[in-house]
Amino acid sequence: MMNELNRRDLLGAGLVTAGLAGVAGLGSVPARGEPVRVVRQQGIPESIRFSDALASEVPTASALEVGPGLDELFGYRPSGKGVIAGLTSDPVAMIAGQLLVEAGATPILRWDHSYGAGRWTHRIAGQPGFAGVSQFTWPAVAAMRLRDELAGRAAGPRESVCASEICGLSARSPGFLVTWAFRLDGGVR
Amino acid sequence: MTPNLPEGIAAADFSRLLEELSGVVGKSWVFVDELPLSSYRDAYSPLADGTLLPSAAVAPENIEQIQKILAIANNYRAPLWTIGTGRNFAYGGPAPRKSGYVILDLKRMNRIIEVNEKYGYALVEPGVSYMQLYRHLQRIGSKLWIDPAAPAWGGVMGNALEHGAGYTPYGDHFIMQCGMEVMLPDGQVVRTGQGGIAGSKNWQISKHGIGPQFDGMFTQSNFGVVTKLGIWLMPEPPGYKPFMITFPREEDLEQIFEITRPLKVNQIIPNAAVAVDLLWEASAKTTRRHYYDGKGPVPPSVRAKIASDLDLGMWNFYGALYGPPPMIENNWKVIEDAFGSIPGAKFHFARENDPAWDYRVKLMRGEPNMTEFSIMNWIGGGGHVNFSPISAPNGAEAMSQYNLIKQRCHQFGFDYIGEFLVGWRDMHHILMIMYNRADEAMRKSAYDLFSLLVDEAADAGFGEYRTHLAFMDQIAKTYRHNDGALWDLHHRLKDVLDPNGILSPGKQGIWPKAARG
Repeated sequence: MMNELNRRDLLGAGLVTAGLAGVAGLGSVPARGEPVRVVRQQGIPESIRFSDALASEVPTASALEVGPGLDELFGYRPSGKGVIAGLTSDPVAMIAGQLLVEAGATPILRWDHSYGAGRWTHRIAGQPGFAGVSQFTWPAVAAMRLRDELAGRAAGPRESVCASEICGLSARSPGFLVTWAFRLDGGVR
Repeated sequence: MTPNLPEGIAAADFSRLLEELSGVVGKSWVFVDELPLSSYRDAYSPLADGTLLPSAAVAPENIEQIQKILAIANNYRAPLWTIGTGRNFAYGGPAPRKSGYVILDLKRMNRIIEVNEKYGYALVEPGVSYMQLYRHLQRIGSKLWIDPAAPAWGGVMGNALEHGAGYTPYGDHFIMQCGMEVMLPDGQVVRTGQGGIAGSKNWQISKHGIGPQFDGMFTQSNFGVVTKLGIWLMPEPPGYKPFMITFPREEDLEQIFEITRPLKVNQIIPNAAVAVDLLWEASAKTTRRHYYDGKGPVPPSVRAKIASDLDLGMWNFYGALYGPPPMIENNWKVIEDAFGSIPGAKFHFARENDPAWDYRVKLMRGEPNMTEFSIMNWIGGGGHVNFSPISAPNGAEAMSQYNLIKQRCHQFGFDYIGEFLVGWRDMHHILMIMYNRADEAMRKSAYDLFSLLVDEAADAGFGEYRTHLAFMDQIAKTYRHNDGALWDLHHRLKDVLDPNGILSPGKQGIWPKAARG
């Protein structure tokens, strides 16, 4: 299933930039070897799987654990160059995005993952690739795609909507998640 | 250069304006590019995407710079939209009332000027957030509590100026403010109350001085830029007892408030107590999609299952007691006897793995957090707008307002998600209309529902205490006693204080003469 995404989809809470033209390649992709900070939301299974997968694939990745009160987001002061990314609930994506843009970060990508009618629907960059992926493994696939983006192997500017097979929803999943990434170029304001 | 110019200002003049602003604050603190300006959007707007976008933003770091900015704005007749931390989400966030305004962003002015342990107050600048003040108090070993609004990133000053509420006994933030420094549109700086005495040491101790008290005039208004604000802080009490009481039936709401009123008026319950509906409470720990995949409001049978699974009531009443333990236990007996008279009432003093309980307990003891944002997971897609009518703490009135609003929510296909918060003599009803902001039809429907509720509530005699940018004019018109005399007064003041109409035009439906036609 392929659909063009409308602008509002992309300009969702926080990750907003009036000039964003597509999902992939929104900002300049950071050079290899740059540090990647992964926001890992406690208690959300997809976020934990994503974080684990990214940490195992990207040697420079380190996790920022965020609890339900999100205090950690306020304690975190981005500095230097690098990437901040996460697969989190939508409110966390919004809050992180707002704080990061104010700090001078540039959005790289935003993919939405929503559960409804017994299946996950992924709004992602490039070709659909989640159709046969289980409810347990799709966060790892998202992490691999993000890894490719960061390594400069971007899937291309085209966006797609991809629905999974019928599957369950974990009791602790919010059922609407966002994969997001921002780049810091060292010029924090 | 953005094409989104302020109304009535030519592109060449706008360029000169920006140059002059840069001359005041430095080029790096004048924002015109799309990326930094994107942080001034209302992420949760009920309006179509891109409706309210600034032309630029300027971020001063002191009052001398604000003075110069106002002079420049007066010269160009450029509209400035003042924000502190800009976190007023559900009411518009940092976005301006109209596209093209220049944001006057006071986030850099985030100094905690004084914390007075002896008298229990702080003096802060506009950019100080609850989390910042809380952490500062912790760092200096203070025994004072703050009273945060639910989101920790909110501004201490901004929330008080917007008549916001918290959950400790100091929950009415405007009542707890004491002493303002305000810059008028012509650049003159005034201090209110005892601050009018040169060298006064009692500015944050008493609101009163000789002559009229002006503080309220600078709240929810556009008559000046508030640059400092005193806020009273509660001394840490020797004891704290939070509680929740669950009630099994929707109609219990009437009795809840008949019982709450004397307990509040007599200060047996000292804090801003709140009755939270089932779905608001549930949404902090689960989502709609876990229970119901259909269209329209969640059916009663599903609501009953949610209540049973999560050990919740149709109403969930939070309060807390503070003070010496023997006093707490005495007052608790009164409360227990009173609410125990409602059949099925169940008392809770601790709950396992319940983020809603955890964050309410924190808020009632002045610990800021962001957990309440997680209720946006209920629908997914994060959009929400708060409809906030005021009423008396009266059971029949609460029930009638609840029924009216719930019926309309259901008619428009939305769940009723709300709470009633009781202050000194008032009751704030907060309805959170939640929608997926990527779903245009749903967003439009939320807008239409809100607009209808404004008029219906007004017809029933209820007015809102606060509102989103999109509804300011509509709500201003509902204050129609004596042919709208109150807004006539606002406009007369506006014309005298801000003849060029540069400060936040349209804020709360107060427009400069030129824009009123």
